[in-house]
Amino acid sequence: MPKIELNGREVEFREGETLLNIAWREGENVPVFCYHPKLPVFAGCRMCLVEVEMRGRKGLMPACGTKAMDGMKVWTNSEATKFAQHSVLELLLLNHPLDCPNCDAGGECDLQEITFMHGPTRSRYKFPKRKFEIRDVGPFIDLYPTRCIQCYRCATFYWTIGGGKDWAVFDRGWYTLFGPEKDKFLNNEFSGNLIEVCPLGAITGKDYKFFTRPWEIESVPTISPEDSLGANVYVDVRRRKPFSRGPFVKAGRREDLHKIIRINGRENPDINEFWITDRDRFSHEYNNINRVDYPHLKTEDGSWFKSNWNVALDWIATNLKKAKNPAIISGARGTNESAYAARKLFKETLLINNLDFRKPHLALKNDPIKATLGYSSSNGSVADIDRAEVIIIVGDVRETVPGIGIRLVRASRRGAKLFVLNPYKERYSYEGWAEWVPMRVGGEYKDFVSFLSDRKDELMDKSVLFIISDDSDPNIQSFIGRDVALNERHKLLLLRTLPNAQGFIDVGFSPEPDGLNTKEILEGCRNGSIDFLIIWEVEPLWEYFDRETVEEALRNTPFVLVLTSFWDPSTEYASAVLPITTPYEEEGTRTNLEGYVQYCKDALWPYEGSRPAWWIFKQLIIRLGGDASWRSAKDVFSEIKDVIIPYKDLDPYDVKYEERDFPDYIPTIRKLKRVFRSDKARYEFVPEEFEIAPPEERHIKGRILYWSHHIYKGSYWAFRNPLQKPYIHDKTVFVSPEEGMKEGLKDGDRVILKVKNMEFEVFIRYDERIPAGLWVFKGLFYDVPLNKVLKERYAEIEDVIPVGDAVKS
Amino acid sequence: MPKEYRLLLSYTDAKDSHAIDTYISLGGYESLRKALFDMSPQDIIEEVKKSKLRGRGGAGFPTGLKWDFVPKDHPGPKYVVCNADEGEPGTFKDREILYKAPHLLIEGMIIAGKAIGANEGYIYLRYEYIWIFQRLKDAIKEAYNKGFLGKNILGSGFDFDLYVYLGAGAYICGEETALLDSLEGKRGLPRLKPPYPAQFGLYGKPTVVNNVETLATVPIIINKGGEWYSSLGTEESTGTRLLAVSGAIKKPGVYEFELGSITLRELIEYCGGMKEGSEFLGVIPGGISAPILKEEDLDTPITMEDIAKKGSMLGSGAIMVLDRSVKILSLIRRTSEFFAFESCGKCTPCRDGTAWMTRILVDVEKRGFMTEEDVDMINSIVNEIKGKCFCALGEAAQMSVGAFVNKYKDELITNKVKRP
Repeated sequence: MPKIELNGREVEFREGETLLNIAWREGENVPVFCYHPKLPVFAGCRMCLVEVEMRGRKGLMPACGTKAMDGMKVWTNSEATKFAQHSVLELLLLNHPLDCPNCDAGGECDLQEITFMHGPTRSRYKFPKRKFEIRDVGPFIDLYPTRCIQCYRCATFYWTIGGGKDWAVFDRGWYTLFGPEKDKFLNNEFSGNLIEVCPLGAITGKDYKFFTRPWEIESVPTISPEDSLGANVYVDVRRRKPFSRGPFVKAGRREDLHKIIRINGRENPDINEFWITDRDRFSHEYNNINRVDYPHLKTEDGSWFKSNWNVALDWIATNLKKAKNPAIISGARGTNESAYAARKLFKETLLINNLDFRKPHLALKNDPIKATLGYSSSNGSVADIDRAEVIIIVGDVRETVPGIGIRLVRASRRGAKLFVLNPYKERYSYEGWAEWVPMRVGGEYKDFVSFLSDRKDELMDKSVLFIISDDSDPNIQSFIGRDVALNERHKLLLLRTLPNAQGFIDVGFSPEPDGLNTKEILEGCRNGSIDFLIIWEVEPLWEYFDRETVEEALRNTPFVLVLTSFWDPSTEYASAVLPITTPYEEEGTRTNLEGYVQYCKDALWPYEGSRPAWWIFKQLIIRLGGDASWRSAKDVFSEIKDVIIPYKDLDPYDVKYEERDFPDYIPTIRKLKRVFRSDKARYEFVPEEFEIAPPEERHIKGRILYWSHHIYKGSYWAFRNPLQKPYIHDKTVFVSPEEGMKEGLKDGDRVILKVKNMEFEVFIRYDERIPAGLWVFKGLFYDVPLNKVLKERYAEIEDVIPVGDAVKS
Repeated sequence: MPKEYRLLLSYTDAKDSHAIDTYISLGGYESLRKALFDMSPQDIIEEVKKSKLRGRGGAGFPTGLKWDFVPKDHPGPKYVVCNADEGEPGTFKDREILYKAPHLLIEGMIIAGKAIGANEGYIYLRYEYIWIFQRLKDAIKEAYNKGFLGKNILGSGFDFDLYVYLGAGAYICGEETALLDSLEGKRGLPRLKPPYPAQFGLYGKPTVVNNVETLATVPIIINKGGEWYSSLGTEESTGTRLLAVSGAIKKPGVYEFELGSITLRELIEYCGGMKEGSEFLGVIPGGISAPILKEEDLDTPITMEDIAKKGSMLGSGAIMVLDRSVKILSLIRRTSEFFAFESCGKCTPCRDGTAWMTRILVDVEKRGFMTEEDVDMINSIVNEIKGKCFCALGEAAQMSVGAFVNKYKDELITNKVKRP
């Protein structure tokens, strides 16, 4: 093995290792600024200069960018090295305002720590410092360019990892300024990572602004519940700890128990690497907004009675016992444990299979993937994106599971061919990472098949990864399912649009074999055959199409029990509302879209009287005479392990991580010391033969109202946050500029859409990515009840009547 | 009195020397025929190696060696890039070739393409030479029309396409890797080396980046042979060198001399001597990056190694003769300001060190004299920059400013400098 001489002792190294790797492994103190283990080497800050002797020549070399060679002599603590560190720090501090007392990074700032270790005690610079104005670049991030030390970490991240195009570097020399154009908001869903990448407080988060100090914080490793990727995160909370200092913590404020201070990324190389999306990062303020505090029961005169748990559960159990045909619908947002408890309540205690989590229009008797592939799950993985030669995406990834975007960008950079099949251009095709294959609304299947036959040559003998969202055309799903089952080089990554859908399927929260699915449950409610409906963490009035059926169903059901955290509109129809915990308040496991079962630790105290859903189901099981003796979520999981075969060998409660050789004295790199790994459920795919009858093609002439996902507005939790509001355009329909111009509308105009003889007032917003003829509404229907007329994803617009001038927003 | 040796400049003498017909009548494109039909790529590289030609851009790296580093069996494209970003203050020698003998350069680039197996070439022209841009494009068009460029050149089966790219006016883009970044359409920042451009250059492909003068010399070497070329000049610095002489002399201009055949003093005399009534102050032998030389060093022969021995460098061959009408404080301030303004901001010592020096020197210039503390401060900053920069820009800044301050220290501190 080749050797170098490090500070006078011989050290072995592997081929290709840099001097920095070796020095850190050996515990030597080498400070860095521009180097970040997850970013390409930049070698600009010169902080890691070390004295190197090679072939008789001595000089200073950047440790981060110099590969070790046999016979090299390296000193990390010689006079020359120390002088280099001292000079670079003095030069870096020339312009730094030293406003640590009111800087958010104070206490976890690389510059602060390294200056204390190596820097000069006072500056010899006697001229005015360079100043920039504070820049507001969107609802999430503040830029303080005056503090910037121009390490280029942000630009390197934004360009190479995030794939963003709207982060620029202006001017040069020491007036170098980073950020988007003037008065522009950042338009990349990974922008929040800039805060973590920045070695000091030049980029700070607005959620964390002037709020606390790092030494008051406890970081809880957990899982983001926002999407089915299950990004690994650290949730920072402020708790009373014996060693904590600071006025607030000593006093121990009550609201600290319910307040998430910020969310940071956690490294898991199989899932999110280190980067998390803005939705994962900034969606945490909903925890205190519009919450249900205690069980509420409806009295005979229609008013709410605030009850305690025993009374409420007894009364509900009595009603449930009387019910002939109960049913439960869900949004797949709970933990696996809760889903299993619900399944046990229904399938084993009540002996009724009426349980489903799918949206009514997707609740098919025959799951296309299960029928063709043998099990309803992806057989590929997120890591396959890095291996595939051709990637075919059906649907809008950015709005459903944005977290896989970093891998898509990387795949495109490495030369893989990416195709996006979607009615409009989404982010990856618009920014040029992928080729857009337009799909006609109503003729998706035909367009998909003709795309495959047109591009046969490009797909032949290649490793292909299909990425489809689970709400895309079922015929396309079964086509891909069969293709993947037959072809070994083809893999499928099924994007679940509901966060824990895979876990719900695995633990058996499904109507099989003979129960009613969501559509039939709602139908049953409407015609009175179902007399007890449990609505669990789903808002049917906002999420389901065909709102009138839903409203009628809720009205006609004798007993509606709503398990929810928020006072959402369906609680109006409820006979009882039970408060349940939000994801960060609850312990449990979640399964991501490829089958990784991951442990979510509870970071907060449950809000007032709210309880985890599994506990409620357990109480109901006991009151109905069943057997449930779990005392914690872990107990539930040990029962799941016995019953659910794919989870047999898993032990997610034992969180596994390895320690890396990174030093402790650089705060932004200290975070990366621990690498987490998760275990994957073992699915058995038993393909069956499955006939596909090509669907009828439907053509809509004229203007089509089309529903699509939205990264913030479409998420059950994210849209409740005040922080996200600027990115959520309420009451807005997106059209192409040419279409808008043709109708005589300006950007921001108020119009009345006439669909199926109903009128809706909306705002028009131009979006050049949308083809003419398409009017796109995104996300939940909490602002405009367009689901009254949308029986499926699209409907025909009869008329557009302008009502007012452009509204200044 | 030594005489000029007009090897390259002989192509610029005729009227309409930029036209292809004039060039062909002077024996142009004959070496291209020789290289295409009689020589293998390796032969060309060996010939250039034999000539011991060193890069004329400033660093003086052996050209043949540079070409030899390009992987021979690399699949996919390779590139030849001509560095015509002649940004070094005081340098105007490449302009002479670009404007008056563009075909010499074009021929050199095609031969270089043949030698390394590249089928595409780019000329990165500095923005300030926008007036040459059209002439270069016209010259390339002429070469295409005559069949020297394009597919299957002269029926030899070798293809070569040539493009001119106009930079946006940044000194740093004269650094070869920053030039490549700029050519790719990115921000011009120097890249981390290794990998060198010969392995990972333009668009990540093997690339040779050469100065205009270097590439223009190649046809002559191919024509007359490497051995003949290496017989000119000294052992270490072979051949001739274009010298862009400017300043307080009677006949400034571009001259060509055999290396080692002339000393700095003789050169000043050859250029007509100092202007009437001017008193010699110093000479900068290689563009503003090179430390200044004083009267006692004037007997140094003009070769790379001799000037290096005096603590300066021949660099780009821009010889600036300064007289006492120059305010030294303004000169130092302006030099420092230039480097601070042109620093790309990638590395800390260059970005912050040059700007700090400039602020001190602006102060000093206002005051009119330097103090002992100022000199110590400048020297201290120079030490903080020295050996820590990413590329040569920062090193050049500290060398040149440091030399000015230290060599004229006595005059500056006691304010003895004559002021007009």
